[in-house]
Amino acid sequence: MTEVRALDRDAAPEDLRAVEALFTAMYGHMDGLGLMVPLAPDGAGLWLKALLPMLGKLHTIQVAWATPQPADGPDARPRPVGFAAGSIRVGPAHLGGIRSGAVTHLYVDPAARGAGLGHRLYEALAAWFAERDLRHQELEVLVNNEAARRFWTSLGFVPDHLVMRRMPG
Amino acid sequence: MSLNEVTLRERVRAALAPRLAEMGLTQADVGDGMSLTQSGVLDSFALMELIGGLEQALGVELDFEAIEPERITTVKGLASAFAQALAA
Repeated sequence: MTEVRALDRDAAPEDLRAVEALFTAMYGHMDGLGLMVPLAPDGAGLWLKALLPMLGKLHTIQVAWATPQPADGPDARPRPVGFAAGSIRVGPAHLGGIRSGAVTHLYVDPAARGAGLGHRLYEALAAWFAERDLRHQELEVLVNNEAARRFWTSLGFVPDHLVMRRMPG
Repeated sequence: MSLNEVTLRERVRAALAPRLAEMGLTQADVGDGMSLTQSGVLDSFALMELIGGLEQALGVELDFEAIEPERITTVKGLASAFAQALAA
């Protein structure tokens, strides 16, 4: 059994660390797909620290929690096996000041894939956006991440901007 | 802290009010020392819009070459930077 629910600002330190580990694993996956700007050494911790003061207000982190199995022991707690993060964004006035729900990250542990957790995590984010009347949604996806591009296309997202970089050296 | 800086914090907060309203936030959600950019309240463009609006309203320009960028991402830091600019 896996339950999807939001991470609280006062979540237990071990739960925060587990989400940070998923965040780092996601960047490891993207590194393998040619990501050009790598995660900083303490990037996951810095990311979470930046979001926590506004978690539930400007940002949400929906987490897939796997229910412990009997073999995990009597004191085992639900374990994060995937997460999706989203933020409220307001565009500049010259572009109409559009309020949008930005899907900033979505990742599922490889061992937990194939059970529709990605869809459930996105649905939880979409519900959070809908509660705030954010009808415009946006996200960025790595150009080489074909699986992710198929996933988002299947959910109705269409390509718009392409981010291009010219690296130093 | 001078009275002027207290007033300037209020001016910064007043300039920030429309943005907070758009995002469904209240003034109480934003502490004086909280980074407006790291927290996601402002992106870099919105920060520049905020500073530009304050510069125009206060009739003074910030010297960006003399200011640490991180310093002007909080209500407190912005008020302090404008207080210095007004005193110069």
